[in-house]
Amino acid sequence: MRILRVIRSVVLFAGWIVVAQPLCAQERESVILKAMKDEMKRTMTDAKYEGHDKPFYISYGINDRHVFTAHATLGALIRSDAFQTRNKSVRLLVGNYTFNDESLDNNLTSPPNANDLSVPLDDDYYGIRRALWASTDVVYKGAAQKYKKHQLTLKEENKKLEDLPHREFASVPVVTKINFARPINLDQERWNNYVKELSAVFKSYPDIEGSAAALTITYGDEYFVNSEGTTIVKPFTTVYLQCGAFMETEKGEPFFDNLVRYARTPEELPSLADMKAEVEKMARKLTTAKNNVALEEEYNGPVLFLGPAVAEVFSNAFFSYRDNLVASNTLSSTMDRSEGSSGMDAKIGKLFIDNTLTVTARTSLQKFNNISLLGSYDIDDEGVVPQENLVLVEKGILKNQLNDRSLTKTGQVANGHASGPGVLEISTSNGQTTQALKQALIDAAKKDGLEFAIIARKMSSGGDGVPEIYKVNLETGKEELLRSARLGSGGLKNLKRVPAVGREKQVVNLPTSGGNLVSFIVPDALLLDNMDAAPLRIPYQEENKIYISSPLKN
Amino acid sequence: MLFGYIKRRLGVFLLFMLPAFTVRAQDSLITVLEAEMARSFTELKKATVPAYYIDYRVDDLANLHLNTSFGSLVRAGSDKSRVLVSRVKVGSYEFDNTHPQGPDDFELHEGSDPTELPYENEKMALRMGIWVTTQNEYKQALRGFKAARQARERTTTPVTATPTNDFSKETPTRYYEPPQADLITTFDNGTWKEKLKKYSALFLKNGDLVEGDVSLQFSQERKYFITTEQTQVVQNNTSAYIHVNGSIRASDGDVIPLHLSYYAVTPDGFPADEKIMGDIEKMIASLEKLKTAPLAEPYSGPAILLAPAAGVFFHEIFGHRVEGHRMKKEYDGHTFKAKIGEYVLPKTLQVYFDPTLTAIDGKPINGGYKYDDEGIKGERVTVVDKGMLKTFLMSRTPLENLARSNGHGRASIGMEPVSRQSNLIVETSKGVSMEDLRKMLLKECKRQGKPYGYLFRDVVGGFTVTDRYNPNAFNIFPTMVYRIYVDGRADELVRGVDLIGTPLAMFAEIQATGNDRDTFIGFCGAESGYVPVSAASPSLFVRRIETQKKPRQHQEATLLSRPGSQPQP
Repeated sequence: MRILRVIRSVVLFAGWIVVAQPLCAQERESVILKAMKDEMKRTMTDAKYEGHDKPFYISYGINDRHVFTAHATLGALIRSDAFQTRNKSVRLLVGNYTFNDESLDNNLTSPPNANDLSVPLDDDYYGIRRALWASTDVVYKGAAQKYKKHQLTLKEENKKLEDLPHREFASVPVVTKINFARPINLDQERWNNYVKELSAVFKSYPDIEGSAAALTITYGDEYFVNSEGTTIVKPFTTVYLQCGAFMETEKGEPFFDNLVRYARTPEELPSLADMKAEVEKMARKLTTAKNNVALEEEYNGPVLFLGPAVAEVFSNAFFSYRDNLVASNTLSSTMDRSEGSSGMDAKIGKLFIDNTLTVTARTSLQKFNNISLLGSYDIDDEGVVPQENLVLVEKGILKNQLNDRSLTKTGQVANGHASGPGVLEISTSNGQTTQALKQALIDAAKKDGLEFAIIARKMSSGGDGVPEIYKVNLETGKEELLRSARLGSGGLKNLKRVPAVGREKQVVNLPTSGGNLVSFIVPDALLLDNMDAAPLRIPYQEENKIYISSPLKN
Repeated sequence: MLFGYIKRRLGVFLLFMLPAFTVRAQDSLITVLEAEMARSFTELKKATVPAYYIDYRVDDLANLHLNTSFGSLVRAGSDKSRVLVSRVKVGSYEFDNTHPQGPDDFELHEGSDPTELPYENEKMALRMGIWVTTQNEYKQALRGFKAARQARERTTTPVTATPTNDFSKETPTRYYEPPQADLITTFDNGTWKEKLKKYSALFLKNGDLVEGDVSLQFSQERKYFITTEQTQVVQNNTSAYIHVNGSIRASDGDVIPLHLSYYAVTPDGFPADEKIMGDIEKMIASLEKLKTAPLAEPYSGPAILLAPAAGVFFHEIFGHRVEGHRMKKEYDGHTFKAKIGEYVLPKTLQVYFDPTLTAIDGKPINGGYKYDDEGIKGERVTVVDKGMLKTFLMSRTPLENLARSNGHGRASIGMEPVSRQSNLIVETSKGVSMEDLRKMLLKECKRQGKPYGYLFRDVVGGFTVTDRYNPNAFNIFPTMVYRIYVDGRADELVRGVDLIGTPLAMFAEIQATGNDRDTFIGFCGAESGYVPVSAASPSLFVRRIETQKKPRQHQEATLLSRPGSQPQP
């Protein structure tokens, strides 16, 4: 049974902070590790819940986070805060690796503890132990009761365990990796100023009614120990920048856009000048959006995906639906099983997507073509080292799924992906130039008897702005940005046949629904058939009558 | 859960974790506010439905907090922000967009959302925030005005009462306090962290305690208020609170909490370590007694409410029913609407509200202010004189025969003000000793055939409901409750008791008052948010009260002892 972490952070390994650990850090961190290990040992040795089994596995995690946020509008700060938090996670299992309290139930959370104790911000040995003790007590009792219930269920069903859908806990090697973050003196004034300068760009756009820039920098150390002997300390940083703006036409039709940038360190953000240029571009695009041509009717036909949109297609297809490259830990019911599973395990070894595509998990790869892969990690949240170059799909055939230590299907192994997909590379054997793909798009549209074709450069599934969908003239190849269009969901079925793929590789970092970043190494273009596009109609209620003129126009 | 009471339940509580704030003092803000108000008003007066009034209220805030638990620092931080809320009124003082629209009009005027302005005085950024807010508020006022006019046209019932204005006409005020020094960045974090850790470490001495938290909040605020009537009020406010929350697990698993709270204008006004630590030691001793105290069954009979409990009692059953704006709402119960000039309490009692007070009997109180959130000077208001109801607490929402505000229009940051309580003081002309109160209690118990009466020593808060769609009841949350036995046994501490009742029945049961006085300090939640309030009262003897069982929080004993149960050297 586990307590889910309150905040799951992206795990990054920044070279600028993963330097040799200073003595003060070692001393500081040793208090945390010692407290974690001592309390774990005491629980394993001394905890006895009358009438119940003892725990066979405990893991503790402490996430020591420093957070800096700056939020500005039109050149002035609205907020600028820096604070520290420490979150804990406790997982405790009763039973054994094959059959335990997590084996027969899909609810893996513990009951809430109304009198939980927070983790101290200081390196307070007893305080840390108390925080872990308070959670462990609740988690252990819940796990022990559940294990007893599972034993009873097994007895009542009068079946062998292998005949019931169940969850096992994988055995994995013990890992010791201690790598402390170097203490950071974040130049808050510098980053306040960065955000203010970006937000000030909108002063030149009087039609924009609301705008802001916000930066969040999070850094610190993650501690993990378990009763198998694994000990991990790893530093992390995340940098998240967004610049958003909003306006309405006179009829009240709303337009908005949002630029999102991730970086491994603040220094890896675009320079202020470059970022201001990007914000300028976004503001210009927004203020002229009302003049763009609208998609008047639904479209079905070929679509060429370019740039970030390619990664978005793959991300959507591989991770947004039930048939997912991340193995599901959800147990199917006995009835499901008796009727024959239609889950992903039944598809292993079968053609899954177009036979020109190969998908490889390269989770610990930190850079590609000198570009940081922000989803990369070298140990997952369960203390497991991800399998190197794990082939998930080979020439269209499904080979593996990404898995954590919970195994629900025969043949599954823990391959170190409890922290998400990490880094995914999609390769093809017959890439073509973008120019050739555009011509192929036009040819396909003509063949389908269409009046125009569509190119998608951004689908904005991760909140990064609005979709960038272009209408392509079949005769001239001229592209027009559409003012209000959206593409269909683009699931796995759209990858069953892939007419053509780009030749060059690109890196795109995208957030997942769990909050972690995934780095995609994908072709720069992707041509798909039979895609749907439709007008995007944002409902609005009234005309945007201006009673007082904007100060920016005054 | 506290915020659940905002709309329909009116409650007062010791402040545990409510946000408080502080300031940046840069008064170019007021220049920008004035200029933008003048520009907007000029344009909106020319509109087809012109505005007749605009106000801007800006709270410039800085806040810091330190939280400790069982001797460990678990949370620390500070922040600053600036929040604008505006009212734009269309129509006229007599009939405007806030005009009540009938029994279903649950709020006079919801208002638009508050706007977070930059805390830096960048002129254009401020102007844009003010402009967007003003325009949105005007659009909302137009919708409200249209609906109010339609409601008036639909009305078929004859108008019997004298029409009252929707907004009172007041004399413009000018008041300016110079900016204060920044007290937040100069706050001695290190010293206070150690103090709080030392205080909360006292809870380590008992292994059955499941909560042992001590926190500090310090806020510095600069409040700006300007109107198109030429009112301009700029005032400062600081407040500091220490909250102590301790809970113990009884042998049956019931978790029993107790709370302590200290208020001071600034942290240097807090009591010395010895006093606070002594109080915590007493709290722990009380918790240890509560651990083995019997659970009480529901009861009806005589009771004594000691002074702090009596203060909360008056705040709930009386105070919320003299908040003037409620009399204008058709859905409100109007307990006292037609009772001005009538006796509503014993003739020995006076009840007044006084926001000009900063201390009672030497104890700092938090319900005071110079000007309310509508720019009206806070006035002492005698609501009950010798038992007779004289008036109501008034904001700028007039009532029949009460056309003016008496400076009780209050709101939390970003909310629209309504009439609210300030410092409530109940005084008696016939106080008796505690000994006499106990004698009265015992005599009444015998008369009613009760083996014991109740003594409510301390409370944590309460709530009441004033609308006419729900039972007009109140609920007070006592923490230290004793049985006083008729047969001479020693007083017996009990647990699991809530005090309940209905107001009118309860007023009639007040039999005597003590010659003592104590003050409850807390925060009151209602439709305009949480505002600081105090309530001072003598102890009360009440002929009949009713109790019900308190909801229980159950927790099993821990399998292992708490690590480091004694403070480490």
